[in-house]
Amino acid sequence: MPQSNASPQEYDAVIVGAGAGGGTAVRVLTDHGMKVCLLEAGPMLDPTTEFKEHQSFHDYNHRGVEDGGKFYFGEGKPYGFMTTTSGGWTLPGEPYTVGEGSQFKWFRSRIVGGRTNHYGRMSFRFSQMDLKARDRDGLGDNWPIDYSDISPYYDKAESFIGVTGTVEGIPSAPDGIFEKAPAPQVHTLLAREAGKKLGIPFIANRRAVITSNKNGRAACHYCGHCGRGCLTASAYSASQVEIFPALESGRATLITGAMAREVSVDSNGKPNGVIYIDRDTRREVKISAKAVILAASSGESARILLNSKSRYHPNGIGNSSGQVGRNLMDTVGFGLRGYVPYLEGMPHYDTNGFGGTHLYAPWWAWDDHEKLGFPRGYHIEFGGGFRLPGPGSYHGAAQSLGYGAKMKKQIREQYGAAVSFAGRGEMIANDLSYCEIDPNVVDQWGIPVLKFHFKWSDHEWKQARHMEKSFTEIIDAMGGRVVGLANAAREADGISVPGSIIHEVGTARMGERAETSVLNKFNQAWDAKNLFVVDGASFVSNPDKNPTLTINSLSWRASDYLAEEMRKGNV
Amino acid sequence: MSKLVQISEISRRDALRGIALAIAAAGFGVPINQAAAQQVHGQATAMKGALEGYKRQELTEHEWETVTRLAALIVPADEISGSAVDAGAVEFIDLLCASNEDLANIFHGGLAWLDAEMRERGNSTFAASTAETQIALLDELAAEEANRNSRIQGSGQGDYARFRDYQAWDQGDLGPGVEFFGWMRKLAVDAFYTSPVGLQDLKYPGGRAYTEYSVPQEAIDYAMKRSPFA
Repeated sequence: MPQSNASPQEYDAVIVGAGAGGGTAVRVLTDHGMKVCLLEAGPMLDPTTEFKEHQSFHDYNHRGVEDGGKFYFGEGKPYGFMTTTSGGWTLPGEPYTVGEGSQFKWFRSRIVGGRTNHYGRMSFRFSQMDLKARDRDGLGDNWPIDYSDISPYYDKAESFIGVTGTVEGIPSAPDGIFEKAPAPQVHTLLAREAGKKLGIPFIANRRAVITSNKNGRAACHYCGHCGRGCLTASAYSASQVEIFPALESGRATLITGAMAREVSVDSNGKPNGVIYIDRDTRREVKISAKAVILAASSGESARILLNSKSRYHPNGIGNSSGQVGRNLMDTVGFGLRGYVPYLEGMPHYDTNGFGGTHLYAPWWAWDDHEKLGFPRGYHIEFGGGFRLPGPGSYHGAAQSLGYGAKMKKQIREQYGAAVSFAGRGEMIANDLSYCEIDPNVVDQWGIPVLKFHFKWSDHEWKQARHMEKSFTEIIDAMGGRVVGLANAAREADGISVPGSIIHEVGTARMGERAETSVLNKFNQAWDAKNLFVVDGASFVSNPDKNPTLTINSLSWRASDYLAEEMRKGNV
Repeated sequence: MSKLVQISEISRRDALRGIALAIAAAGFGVPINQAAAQQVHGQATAMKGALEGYKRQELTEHEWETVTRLAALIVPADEISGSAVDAGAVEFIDLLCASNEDLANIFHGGLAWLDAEMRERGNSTFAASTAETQIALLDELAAEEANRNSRIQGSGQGDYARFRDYQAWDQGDLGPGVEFFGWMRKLAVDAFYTSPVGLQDLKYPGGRAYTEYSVPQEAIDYAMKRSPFA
């Protein structure tokens, strides 16, 4: 290993990871006038070349199945060629391991903006019930914050990022500051009617998409391709909305290709920077900073903490409680596909809208858990309409219809009559679900890798069965029939493969006490005042609210706190 | 619905102009405007080159002819739209095979099997046989496939059972043909529905940009009147 190169200057803060947490932190800290270094393991993002938003499959001779038809051999890009993912379920030379008897899939993004370039952008506030769920059912742990602590930061995050929605007054789904929501499509109106019969409320979806012009970003133009990356930045991404503007401030330095290995400490054991491996030269570099902020994703941040071993921190920095890597949670996923025959022949109209479903159902039975037999709730997302056909869209139909003129005609007639419903539910942390450093394996940068252990418990299994029942009832009430699993590859076992919903959180949780948690209520490590973790690792629980908006809000809150503490001379 | 721009069909140049107008009307900053414009422009250039003047790379002339016939049988032209051949399926298959040996072998082998099977039945090669005998063989393959699928579905629960039972069965003389037909159909269908021909067949209504999203009342009425909520 070549000798370590120390950076010539000391920054006010170094942030590891340019996703939702790091993007928010770099913007807020530079707004406070701080000099910040942002490390990203992947390359710089160039939306004009990386985002395939308005491209057609036939713009490519390979039609989206990639060279040599990788798609047909299960080797294509996850979520398809057009999605703007850099990285995926496996990264060359960067393995992770899984404990015997466990299953875990880990999606890692390596690019400026991280997973926010292509994520689903569902943006739901945690409620007071979510934050203090243990008070209701005795399971898991309470958060050290109340809704009143985070609510002002949800306001800030929503106002800045832009989130659609309508004010509804539903206790499980607190209202926010909303962009105007787009009109519901026909299949969503039918689901809403079915919901009325079943007591399931379908309301305007809350997505991080602007429907009016904001801060130099254009309003959504409803092409429906948010998952490919949004050239007009109408759909939020940390890269376009937070990191690029922060770089323009002149107070942020972005270093790409930087594989962070550990938090470095001074002769008193106090963090004083980050050591990374430069991917191009394989050289080790140290960035010096007064404060260290980890936002590398729940898994990677835990990995960095655990790998930051010194005589001061023998079990890894921030880990005096032994809680780093514990409490690993994903979201419970299950979905069904349905077919609604009377939609055949409906006049074709553009159903793409703003990409995601225009309505969704927040959890409705928060007072019925005793009767239901499982402790926590889920929300319902769904799809349908006249979808853009892509590789594989009609493999199943073709197989059941044979071939020839009849097949072609039937595919045409059935177009637009399919619907799908997906549940996203809360998992409760358990002792069998955690990650640790694999003592025997390093990646190509010489950094010890994570080993995952994971088990769904009966709580999650029963919740998934309730999803199945609910979706069957909704499809029936709509006048349709259930066709099969919405995602057979992922949910063949009746519940999503652990990690596959990509909501992994909890591995450096905050808490009231240093003995049982890694961070205090400001995302600040109990073990070191100038060390913060601002990604999903800080989560105490994983409500059925997709994590990103809460990561944005908590990162903002932690950044304000850090700036204030530095001003006061406390950090 | 306030239609502004149609991005992926008709004219890329109009799309470029339209999206620029939309963005200007939105009072929208210059950098992203350029980015959007560049991308649409880049596509217009790419489209010109796509598959025009394509030169056969992997398939032999005879194989090319056979794939052409198969693609036309699998997704034939009708009163609404053209065939998979019109949609570029033959070029698509040749191109993929040229850069993937495994796929190339699937096609070389499968096509050779088809010819051998045809000869065994007293005909010429598949391509040189009459339409009736070609269709008769494909019908048999499709029927055998359906038969197999129903046996699999009736045999157990879940993907694992499906896999196990599938392994256990004697596939019979048509086995290799069923396998190859599956590949040929997957690629022909994908080539068709990812093409402008296929989008036209489905009347895919997307690929546009709007200042506001709305849902036509006639679509709502059509569905609601037929629904249980009428």
